[in-house]
Amino acid sequence: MDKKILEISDLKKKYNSKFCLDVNNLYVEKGKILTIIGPNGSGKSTLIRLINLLERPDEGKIYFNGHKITNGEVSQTEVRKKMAVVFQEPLLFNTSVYSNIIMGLKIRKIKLSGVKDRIDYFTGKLKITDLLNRSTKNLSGGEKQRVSLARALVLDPELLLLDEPLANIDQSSRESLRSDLFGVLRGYGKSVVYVTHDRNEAMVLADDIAVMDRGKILQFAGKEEIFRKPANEFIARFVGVETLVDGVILERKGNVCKVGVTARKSNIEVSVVSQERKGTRVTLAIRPEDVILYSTEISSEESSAMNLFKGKITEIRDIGIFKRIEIDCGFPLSSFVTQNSVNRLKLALGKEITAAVKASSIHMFKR
Amino acid sequence: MEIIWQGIKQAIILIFTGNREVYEILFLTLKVSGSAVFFSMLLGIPVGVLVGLNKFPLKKFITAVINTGMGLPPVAAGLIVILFIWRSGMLGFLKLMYTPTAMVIAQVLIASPIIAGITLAAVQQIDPKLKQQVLSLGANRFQVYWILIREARLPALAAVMAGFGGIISEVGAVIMVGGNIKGETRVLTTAIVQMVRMGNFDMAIALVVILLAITFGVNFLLTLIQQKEGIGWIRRF
Amino acid sequence: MNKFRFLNVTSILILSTFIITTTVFAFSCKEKVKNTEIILATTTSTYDSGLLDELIPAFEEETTYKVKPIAVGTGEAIAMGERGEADVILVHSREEEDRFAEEGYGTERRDVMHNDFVIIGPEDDPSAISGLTAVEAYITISANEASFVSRGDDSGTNKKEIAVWEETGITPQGDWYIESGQGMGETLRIADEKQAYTMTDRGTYLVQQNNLSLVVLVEGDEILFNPYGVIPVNPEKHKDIDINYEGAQAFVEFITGEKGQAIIKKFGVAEYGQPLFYPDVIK
Repeated sequence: MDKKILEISDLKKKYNSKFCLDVNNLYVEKGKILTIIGPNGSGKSTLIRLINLLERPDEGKIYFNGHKITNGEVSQTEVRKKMAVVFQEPLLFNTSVYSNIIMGLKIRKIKLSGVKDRIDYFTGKLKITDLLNRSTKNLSGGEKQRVSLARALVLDPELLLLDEPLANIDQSSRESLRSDLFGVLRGYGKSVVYVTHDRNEAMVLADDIAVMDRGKILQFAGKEEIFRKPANEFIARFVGVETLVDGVILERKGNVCKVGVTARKSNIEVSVVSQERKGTRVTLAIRPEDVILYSTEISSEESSAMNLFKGKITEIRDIGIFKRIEIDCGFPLSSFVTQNSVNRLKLALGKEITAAVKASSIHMFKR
Repeated sequence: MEIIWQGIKQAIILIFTGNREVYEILFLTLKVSGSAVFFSMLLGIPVGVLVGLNKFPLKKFITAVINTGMGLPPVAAGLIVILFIWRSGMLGFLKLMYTPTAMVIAQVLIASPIIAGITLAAVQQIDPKLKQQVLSLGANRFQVYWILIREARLPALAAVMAGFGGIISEVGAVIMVGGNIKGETRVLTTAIVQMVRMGNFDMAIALVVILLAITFGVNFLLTLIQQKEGIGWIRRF
Repeated sequence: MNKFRFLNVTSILILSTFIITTTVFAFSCKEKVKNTEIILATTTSTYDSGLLDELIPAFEEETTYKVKPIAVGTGEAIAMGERGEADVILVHSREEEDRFAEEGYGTERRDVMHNDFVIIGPEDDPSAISGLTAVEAYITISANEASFVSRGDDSGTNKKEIAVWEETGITPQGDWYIESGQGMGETLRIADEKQAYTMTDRGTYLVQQNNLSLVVLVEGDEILFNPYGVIPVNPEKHKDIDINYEGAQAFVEFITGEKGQAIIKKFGVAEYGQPLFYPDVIK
């Protein structure tokens, strides 16, 4: 009946009068993955603990499957049995791997014979079938976390909570674990809350994203919207916007605004699709993927972009698959290009270049 | 030196010919200390776990009391017991004086704080986040304690063995409350004292050998269990 | 996975079975009927001689009583009687026994047996006390400052030793006078180690003889006479405690009767060539 498996309303929690968690609205739709991203200390882990009733809020309500779980009447244990949590540390018991994996089942009195297939499935997916008889004592960090994940997954919880599960894993193991874990989660079909401070993980996994900082939700929306339309500078930087410039709306024609941007030498006019009013002070966010480079003068047939910036290349940086090109066109503008493009356009430091950005690609928010 | 060698030879004979007196003393020792360690476990482990895992106002004070109890001189325990159970004492009507039961009581008084104290320390070593993980798995309060005790099972076992070792080699309290009566309240340690007093060195050495064998055996068992890596040692079985 | 669990479960089962059976046994040890119990307070030297290990079973065979002999120092044995913690006392300290009976703590003091004290020392007898009287021997030892080990524990033996010192008019003190504070057996061993003089009851000496290098040097002196007395504790003094007065009387009757006295007379003869105790009632 209810599409939301989890809903949080006006949740507040104070810690030694310094830090305060204040979430006014957050929800998870059934079968969707909500990723909560934010820097360390933003309250993400506290939120997970509150959802799992490991802590009590000072104020506010949490609804699970339509029922309020934050009043005293509800059995905490019964609610927890419908969820499963994986923390940053594996927190395993000093017995065998298999014994750890079935621990939740034993606690919840679920018959092992009935879930044998489930156990085999997840141990296979997480590649720990060979470790089943081993003691957990000498496993690597990655292996331990795989066991912790299996332990949670075999419970088939209605809501799976993952609190930065990959954060403590060393770089070399993280790649393979991430790929195995995401492989499980993407086809999972169950509701998940995934907490991380790594925006790439959010990018890959999320249906919806909530950005948190200092105990508050800064923006809560679908993945696309967060990435395309970050609500403020903080979020913009966090979701990977490289170019941020301040300006003022000079005029608006229809749904296109002309924004006057303070550049080094002169004022540059940038066209942005928006309904904001003239005179509004704004910040423009331009994603590097949206900046297309051309080596020479181009005509309007070659590019439909309303914004053509001319400038010199000030930096070429290697960032893995892409190269990050920084251009000084009155303000610093970043672009990602492939190695191929670098070669084709003969990009080099100091070269004159034209960057085209569609008016619809530029995101703008009030200052 | 001659006497020691003589004694050891005689001791071997006494042990292997199933000398009645020796075995009577041995079985009584095991009954008394065995039951004492059992009740001390029932008392000590829950106390250690509850105090160790919970926060409550008098926690520091109670922990100090338990640790003091660990160092309680056994003869003090003996004195406390006789003050209650002798004829003019509060529990005199129970006629417990000079009985094996009184010895068990004194030994429980000695061993329980030891078991409680070591279990308490062990349980406090457990990562506090582990308790949260156990709760998140859906455990009720009882299950949480059960699982965390199992986590600390090795130190808890060490605690029980320490308690056992302490009481089986104790002589002061057990003579005070038991009276060292032949065939009834005479255990290994008190029998050794009596045999030496009577100049019966062969018997005394035989009993010492047995006592050492027991304490060594218990310690060896503990070491074996503590040394096991994963299930490796079970395979050796 | 299953192996691990199986072994854990079996070890727990075995351990619990062991513990439960021991508990059951421990409690089945308990006395079934409590008022057949007689607590006998006696001295360590009396007990260590082994006499009671023969007397008591004989007594128990004849009656339904169960005797619990508690061997402590004379002072403590008498104190136990005064507190009502014992039903009957068997000690060898005449003055104390008489006081005990006179002050009403005991009902009646009866003779049981006697032996004697002897003064023993190293074979070569450096202070040449052999053949002297007890008093003379002590004077000589003190004058020579020869090593002497005393019980120092207020026991019957100790009181006798102090009585002899009182006769000499000397108060023994100095490095040569060692107080062991322990039972007769230990004291003898200390004296043996130090090749010192000491006073002991003949019974303990005979029993320990093979382990000692010391020999009897002074004996037969009247002052060394060591009589044993048995006194039932007076139940009137302890109205709120259950004193087994009947049992105590039965015990007294036995050890002063034909059977008991015969056992006393024979005790130790086969092993040591002479009796350790001389019966006083039926000689």
